[in-house]
Amino acid sequence: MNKHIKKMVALIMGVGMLGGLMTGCGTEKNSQTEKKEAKVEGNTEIVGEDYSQALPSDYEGTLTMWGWDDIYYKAVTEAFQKKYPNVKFEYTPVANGDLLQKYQTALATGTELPDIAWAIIDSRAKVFELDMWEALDQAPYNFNISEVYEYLHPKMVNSKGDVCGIEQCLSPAGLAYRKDLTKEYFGTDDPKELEKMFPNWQTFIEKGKEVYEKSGGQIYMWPGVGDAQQFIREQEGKSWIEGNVIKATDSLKRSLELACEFRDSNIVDKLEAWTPAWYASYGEGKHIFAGCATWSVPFTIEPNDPTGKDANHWGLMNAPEGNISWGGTTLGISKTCKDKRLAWEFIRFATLSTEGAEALNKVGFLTSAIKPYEEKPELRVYKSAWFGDQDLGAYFLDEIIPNIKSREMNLDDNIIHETLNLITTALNNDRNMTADQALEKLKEELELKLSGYKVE
Amino acid sequence: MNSLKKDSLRKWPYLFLAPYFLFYFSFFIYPTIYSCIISLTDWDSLSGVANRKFIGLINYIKLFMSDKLFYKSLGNTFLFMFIYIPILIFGGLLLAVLLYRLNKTSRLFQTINVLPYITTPVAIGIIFSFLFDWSTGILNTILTQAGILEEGINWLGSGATARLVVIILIVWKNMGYYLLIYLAGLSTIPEEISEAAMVDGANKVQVFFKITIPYLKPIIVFLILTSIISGFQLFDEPYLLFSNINSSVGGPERSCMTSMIYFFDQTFRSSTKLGYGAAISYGLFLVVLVVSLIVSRIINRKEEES
Repeated sequence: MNKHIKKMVALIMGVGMLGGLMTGCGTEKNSQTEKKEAKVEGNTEIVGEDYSQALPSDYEGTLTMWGWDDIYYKAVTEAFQKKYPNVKFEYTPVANGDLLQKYQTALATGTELPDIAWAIIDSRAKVFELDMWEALDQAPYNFNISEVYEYLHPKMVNSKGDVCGIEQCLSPAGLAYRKDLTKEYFGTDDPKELEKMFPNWQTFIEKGKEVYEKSGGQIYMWPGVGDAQQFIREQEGKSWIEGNVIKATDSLKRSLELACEFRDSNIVDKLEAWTPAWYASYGEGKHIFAGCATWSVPFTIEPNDPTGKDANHWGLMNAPEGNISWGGTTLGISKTCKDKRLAWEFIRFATLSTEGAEALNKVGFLTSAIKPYEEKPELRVYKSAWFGDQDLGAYFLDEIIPNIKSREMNLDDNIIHETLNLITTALNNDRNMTADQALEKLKEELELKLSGYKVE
Repeated sequence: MNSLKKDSLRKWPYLFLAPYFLFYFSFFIYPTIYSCIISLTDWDSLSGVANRKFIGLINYIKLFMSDKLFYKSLGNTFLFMFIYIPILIFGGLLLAVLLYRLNKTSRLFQTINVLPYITTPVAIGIIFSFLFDWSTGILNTILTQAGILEEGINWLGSGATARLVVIILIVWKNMGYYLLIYLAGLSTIPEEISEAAMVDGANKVQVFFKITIPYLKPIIVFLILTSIISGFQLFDEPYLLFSNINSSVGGPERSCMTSMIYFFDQTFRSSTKLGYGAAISYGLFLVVLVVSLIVSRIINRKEEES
């Protein structure tokens, strides 16, 4: 009996140790509630709360930042340090998908948050609800949201209407197309002529069928059904959630129907977005169109089309039925920031100033603020060696942005987005699955994951 | 005088043991108890630590009574374990016995088999994505070019094949570890016993079943128990295969969503419910406890019978 008890205790202890591994550390202390204003040493002349004035150029300080875009980070911080040589940055690379977890853990354990906090669009609605943000539209920052492009406004505020971050740069998306293929199959590589040729998705499908027949099934209109569906659903500009109701039918049914039509007409390839094969497809010349945001040019097209440089491979055009806002990252100030004055100076420089816009332009990004383009019209120009002579900057600003319907963010958008991935994977794999079945499956999955909502 | 000396000597064991117990209580006992407390609250990161409320067993009631995804994740975990643990236990044993008998090339084969075990998990995820991609994967290319298949299989796009890929990945990655443990066990078996049995007329199969297996029994039991416990912690392999931006949690049909992936997703990824996440981890803890009790009972009974 005694032996059995000992064995039992040993077993429970062993499993308990496993349990210990699965659980997280924590502390009652919540540093967010601490109203601690750090003293900024060496900057004794800076007094008061007037954040509208620029800092003296010999200002000293250090800002911490967690981020995932080294190109952006280097461009803006190096430009800022030219103006403020005594300011240092401590940068911690973090995968963009891990951001919500990192912020949560820091808040839960009371460990330090970065001074400058980034928020990617995928998880932004949730991240902005965390009790960690300075409201930039309030004193002492007094940021006026109308300083940035209007379509970005709903994506910079939390549910209380506080501006929690300013977009690093514009991220409108139209369609990129392979000029050699459009010339071969549609007789032109001019964006305006192509836009006339594709006023809506139905004509896109019809032309796609012709391409499929002519090419013997070798050339596709789009790399995958998942990214096509993602583009189309964002065109609607309709909020996915209203109050306690997920508007699945109203806001997502059409995109699922079109995705099925794309698949059944053989105009899309089978590639899953963001897989190695999908990236490689940009250099293969088998897919005529792809969604193209400002960041797609330096991150997706240029690195994956090694023969495309100076070869005039690509063009940019308006998408049938309108364009979308795709991606984007904001810069905000955490409540625990040790030098909020300096943090605001940096954010203002990086996102709103003409000098910051110049630094961004050098790496192919377009600032989200309106004023720099007025002060220096040449900032509107951005060209890529992969897109021939086309002025991408002007096209994004003048053609793509005016045709964007921006969707309001909701707290659980990330879960709906993830569930849609599940559905498009199923659509891609099962050719017999209809749009109605896909919608029903979507509703079932949403009811499982978001049981607090009514799904319509 | 002597008793004073004895008293001062008694302190030393405690002093030397103190650092271990300090760490053990700080990093094992305290988090375990604290997580249990969290699991009884409605703590959500969005509302903040100050607003969390004690809600008793509500998280557990929801978990066990109405959370279908938890049961699905548990079912997936059991399915993986039922398939890959026997393959690793028996496959590792066979491989070890075969390699143990090799004279010149045994080191080379041992190294080859252990390499996947020490390879970075992220690299493994990328390698398998390339291998099993639907349209450009190496495997589909070989199978279609050899005429075995007319069209490539969407390995990572349907539930059943995605599970198969995960199992292949786990077996490929972990076989080296099992091999090493078995080889260590084989080296402890006295050669004379096998030789004496052979002299008495036993063949190789009889030596294997009558001498090798009984000698390796403690090692086999150890590997079974540790495999079950690590099986419940299965996370890396399925997560790496389906971790890109457009993947759903747990892959197609959530077929590879293990309990740990579900715990991670509910707590840190899709949702921010720390209280419910803690309840999931304790729910899983209870399942592990029950399974471990059953397995240890079975093993103990067999030991007593023998």
